[in-house]
Amino acid sequence: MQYSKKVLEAFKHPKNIGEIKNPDGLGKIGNPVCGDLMWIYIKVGKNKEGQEIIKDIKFKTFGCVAAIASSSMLTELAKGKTLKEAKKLSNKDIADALDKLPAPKMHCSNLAADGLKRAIEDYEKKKSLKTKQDKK
Amino acid sequence: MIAIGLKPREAHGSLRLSLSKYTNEEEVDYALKVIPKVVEELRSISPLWRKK
Repeated sequence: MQYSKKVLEAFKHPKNIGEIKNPDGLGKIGNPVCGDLMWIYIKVGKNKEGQEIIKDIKFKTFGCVAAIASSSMLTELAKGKTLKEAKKLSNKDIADALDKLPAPKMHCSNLAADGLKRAIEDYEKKKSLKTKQDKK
Repeated sequence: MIAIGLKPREAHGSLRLSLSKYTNEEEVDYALKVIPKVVEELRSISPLWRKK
């Protein structure tokens, strides 16, 4: 299976590249030994209903075409979503939005989905530490 | 790449170019025109690359 047009487009013109200074959450995933490495940065805000949302999201990725396309698509899907919704984003959601990935490249979309989960967990961990400190 | 002693991150970030007796100068010039730009782009989105 060849890469879909959407995969190639996301690879050639990826969205939301870069870093966020002092991110609310940072998810580092993958390792250079297997060949793919993703860092997902998030900034958390609130919507009108007072729910926490992904206000901004950026990524840096070292890896193949599918890894870069998956990280770009992840950031597009996650931006503006509530944390609750964003946590539910699956590798299938990412692959579907890219008009499917070749089977041997599905792990790239897994990596992107897990990277975001890690970034949100990092945010929640920091937040609970802060709440504990405030109570003292 | 690993066998010639590169670290994993260097091996995955390497590009091997092969020439043959059929490769002409024009093709080499073209490769030199397009590859550095792509390398620059990929470095700019890599978490491992730091500008010196």
